[in-house]
Amino acid sequence: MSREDHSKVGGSPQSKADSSNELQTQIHYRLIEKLTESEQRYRHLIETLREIVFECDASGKFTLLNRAWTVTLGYPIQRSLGATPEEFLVSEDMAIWHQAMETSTDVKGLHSELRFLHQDGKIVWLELSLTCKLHYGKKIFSGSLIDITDRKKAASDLQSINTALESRVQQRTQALTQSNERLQTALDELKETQDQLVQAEKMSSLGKLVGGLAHEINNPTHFIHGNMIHLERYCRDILKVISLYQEHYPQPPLEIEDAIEETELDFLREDLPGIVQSVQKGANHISRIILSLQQFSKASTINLYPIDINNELENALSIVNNRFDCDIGLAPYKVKVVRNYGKVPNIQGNAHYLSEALINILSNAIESFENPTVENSIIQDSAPEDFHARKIVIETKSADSQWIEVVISDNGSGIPKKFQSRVFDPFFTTKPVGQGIGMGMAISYQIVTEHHQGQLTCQSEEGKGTKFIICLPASDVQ
Amino acid sequence: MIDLDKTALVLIGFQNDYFADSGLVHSVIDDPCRYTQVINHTTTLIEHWIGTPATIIATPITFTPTYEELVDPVGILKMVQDLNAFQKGTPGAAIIKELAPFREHIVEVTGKRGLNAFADTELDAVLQQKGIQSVVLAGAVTSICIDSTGRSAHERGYQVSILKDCIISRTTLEQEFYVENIFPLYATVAESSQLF
Repeated sequence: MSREDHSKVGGSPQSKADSSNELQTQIHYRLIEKLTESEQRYRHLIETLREIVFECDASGKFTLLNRAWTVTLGYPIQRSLGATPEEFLVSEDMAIWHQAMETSTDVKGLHSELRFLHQDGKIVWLELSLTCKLHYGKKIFSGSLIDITDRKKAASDLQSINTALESRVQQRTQALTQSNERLQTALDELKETQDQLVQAEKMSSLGKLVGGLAHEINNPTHFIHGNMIHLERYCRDILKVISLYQEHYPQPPLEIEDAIEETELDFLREDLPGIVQSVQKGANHISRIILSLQQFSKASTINLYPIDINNELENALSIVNNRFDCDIGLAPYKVKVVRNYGKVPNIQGNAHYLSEALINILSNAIESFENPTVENSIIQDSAPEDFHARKIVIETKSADSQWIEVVISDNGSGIPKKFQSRVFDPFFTTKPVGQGIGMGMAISYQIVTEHHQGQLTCQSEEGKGTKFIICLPASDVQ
Repeated sequence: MIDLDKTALVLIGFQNDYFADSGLVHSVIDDPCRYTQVINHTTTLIEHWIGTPATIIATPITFTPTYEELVDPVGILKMVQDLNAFQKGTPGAAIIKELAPFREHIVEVTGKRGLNAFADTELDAVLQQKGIQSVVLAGAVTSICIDSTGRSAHERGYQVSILKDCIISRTTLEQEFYVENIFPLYATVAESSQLF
């Protein structure tokens, strides 16, 4: 049919209606084309997303899923549509999904992390973004699921690394602490050695000084000491002559009588013997001091030979034995001696010198119970006759193959902290004037350290007691 | 219950340019498998209806060489025009071979040169002559010739049924949109098996 024919046919009302119909169809077709293009554009966008895009109806069943669903979880889309997300969730996370459905709104999206089961059984972490809107009165849920498994694993790995790092830091810190402690110990030992060296040097210098001083004082002291016998005898003779004279001449001339009165002869005759005796006593004390000083300043080389330290302790104890049953002070008391002698090798020593050192230390221990101002709380309330309250413990043992150790400890008054560093200083004493010259512990220190190449240390706590530790080199000859 | 005495199956666009692999606009359908499904469902219905009082009519489309029937076409229609598809006398305009076995049972109404099978054809006259009150539509393309012919039949007072498994469209969206939202406005949407 030609166009003219077509126009002719189209002239009737029905023909006009048909033409209108055809035009309407083309209009509809344009609309559907545009709609299809738009739908395809957005579908393409959704299908190419790496994130899962989904939509669920009011009952929670999937009505839309993009290709990422299959890529991420392995399930075919057609088999998943109509199913609920719960069918793919691990059971522990279902409550989170239900909570998300209940609380999500169109305005406020909800974000959660959920574990889904991949078709092959492995767990996939997905981050959920969910919104809810009403469509003709029915809820429609839509949102996305982003695979965060790698992120979770990275976080977990990071946590592990952090934990391992913290552990390593802790180990390193511990090692550093131990190293620091070792350094501190070494430093302490160094300081102790330095103190000993300083002490030894001080002793050495002091020894020379004291030696010279003692020598200088010794001669005049001998002169005084030697003449005091004569002086005492001469005084006694003179007084005797005066007495005889007064007896035979009771009425002396006036000039003599005035002189007797002026010189207070009666008082002088009465006081003179006491003065002489006092001078004698002072001279004796000077002699003892000089003796100590001379001993302190003697050369460090003495004759050494193998001796049994346990025997020497017994010898020293026998000398101070009488002092363990004391009646000095406010009340008499007893001191118990505990002997913990070990089997120790002989040492290279000088019995005479060592004995003196040990006696000094033992005497110091005994005197610690005589301090009336500071009292050990343990013994403070004990009866004087309580034999177990006050005690001196003597222990000998082999420190190692080269050293033996003698520990003499008491539970006496202890040494005040401020005095502890001066215990071995010459002339240091806490005793009242005239009762000690403070050379005993200095001499002991010298005997142990210089004469025997050993070590002498003191540990004391005021009110609890004192411990003297003597380390002596073991003898090569057993 | 359908009264086959007064029912006609109207076949639209079962031509090579759509349905044959070599058809000029064959490729416009997103899912080519749908061609086979539509052919199978349609031929199965025809097989059931042969020997019954039902009328089967084919309305092949042929455009004029100038495609003056189309106004600024888009989509398939533009492709039809651009590719010179469905021009009278070409193999593409011929009815598909799958309907050949039923040729003697099919009334061919020629002259369709547009989208509406009633326009410029004797279709209405043929239907009237046969006392048809109900038309059943099958063929291509859903949004164009099926919809246009369906509305025209409705306007002419026919009861219209559209077989959703016997029609084909370019996209799923288009198919679902017309089947679910447009056709129910004037027609009954059914599956071919419901008419056996």
